[in-house]
Amino acid sequence: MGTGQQARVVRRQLIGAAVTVVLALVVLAVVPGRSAGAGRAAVADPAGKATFDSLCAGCHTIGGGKKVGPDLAGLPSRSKLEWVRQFILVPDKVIAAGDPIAKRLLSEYSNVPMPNLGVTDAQIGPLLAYLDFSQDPAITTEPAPATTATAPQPTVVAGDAARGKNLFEGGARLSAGGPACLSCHAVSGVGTLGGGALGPDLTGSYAKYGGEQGLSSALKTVSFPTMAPIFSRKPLTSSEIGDLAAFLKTAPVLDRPPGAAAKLVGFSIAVVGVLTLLAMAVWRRRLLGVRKPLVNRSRGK
Amino acid sequence: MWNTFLFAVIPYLAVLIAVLGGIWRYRTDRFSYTSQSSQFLESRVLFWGSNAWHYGILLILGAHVVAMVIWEPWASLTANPTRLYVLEVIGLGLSFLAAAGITVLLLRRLLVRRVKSVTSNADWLLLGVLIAQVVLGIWISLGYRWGSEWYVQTAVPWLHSLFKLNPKVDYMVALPGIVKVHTVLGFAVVALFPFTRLVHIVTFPVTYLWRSYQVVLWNKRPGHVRH
Repeated sequence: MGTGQQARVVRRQLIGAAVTVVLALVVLAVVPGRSAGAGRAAVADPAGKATFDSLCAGCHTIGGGKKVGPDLAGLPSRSKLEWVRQFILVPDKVIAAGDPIAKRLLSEYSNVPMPNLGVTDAQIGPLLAYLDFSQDPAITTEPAPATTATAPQPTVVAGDAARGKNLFEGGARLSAGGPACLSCHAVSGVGTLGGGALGPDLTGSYAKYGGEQGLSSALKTVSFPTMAPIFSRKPLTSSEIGDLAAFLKTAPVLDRPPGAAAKLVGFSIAVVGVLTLLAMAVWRRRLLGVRKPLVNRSRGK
Repeated sequence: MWNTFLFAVIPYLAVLIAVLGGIWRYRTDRFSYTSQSSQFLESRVLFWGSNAWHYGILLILGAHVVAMVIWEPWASLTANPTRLYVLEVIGLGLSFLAAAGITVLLLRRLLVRRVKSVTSNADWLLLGVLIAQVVLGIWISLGYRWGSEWYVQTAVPWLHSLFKLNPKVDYMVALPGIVKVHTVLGFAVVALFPFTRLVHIVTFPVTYLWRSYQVVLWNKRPGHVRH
């Protein structure tokens, strides 16, 4: 092969590589990404991303693995649009209706139910589009008709953190007579022996539920299995929800002193010691007096 | 379905067995309504075991009943964290006392030959169930704090619904499995009532609490006891 021929071959190879790169870039720009958030944002309404970031990102990722709830990457390939729409809008009703998929998810994710986040008709379309349902012709970014069974947007009342702490600990009783949060939940910075251990530690729950809106919705619907029978009969008021959310916002870091159970055991053993000493003092004369000779005789002394 | 059986069928069944069985035993074997004292056979270990067990368990059981009967004042009592902690510490202390007492009683029955020889299968069964109940109770009070408060909001409304013949099992279904076992085993103890020495509960031995102590002993050295 001559020098000129070699140069032509090299030139052709370079041109081929350049065309391939350009084509690849065009394809990447045109075809929406199915796992990366950046590609998604390029085609979906930015409003969908905003809704996801503010309401969903506390518990879900898209391609980042499981958090409190499942990874939502590739959701259209495993879930039907209408089911997802209903579950986002009224998860409490779907769970209460005994939906088998909702039940499976509930047991798979430690019985932490999806709270009713108050997603509006205006938000649902862009959000579904952001979740890759965009190619489905049923998706519309226009608000759905008013007849859609959408949960009303919960009113978020600006609360007072100090009042919320008092409600959490039980210093102020909940107006409907429900138990103080401390009965079952711990949170950083509360109580000498900490909070309860029946329910999860609520430190960081503000971020986990997507801030004020999500946490308020969770407290309003209270669809957690242990709490539901109690708080459906003794619901929290809007101002109590606002105060509790404000308090939980102030407890974002897990700095709860460890060893609450060990302290409890230590104090309790001290109680046993005191009771035993008391018993010995009260009954110290039980073998004396007129019975003493009889006791000694029975022991062969 | 399963929860309905555990929390809406078993409680009534247990009470029915206790009442009918108790009446049957009273009518057919009246003089067996006793704790079958073994104080004659061994008294020194019994003193510490029996007192620790009975004072511990009666106060713990009493707290369960009081919270069920006067749930509103109880809820107010535990609403304050300091009062809650004091109550929990005392309650756990008493359950340790009961656990220590029943351990002493178990060892006494195992190691003192004369006492072991008068121990029936029903006694062993009851002892096993009661030990399991105490261990579960301690487990719950440590692992699922704070029981004195959430008990009033979960098991108490369920117990009330049982009295009203309208069981609301939804209060119980989401509670941890260990709490469910403790609850069902509690009703198993109720069902065991007519078949074990538990019948001594209804001979109203309330004067035990304030009467002068008695020393039960042989008036002469006991001879060899046959086994």
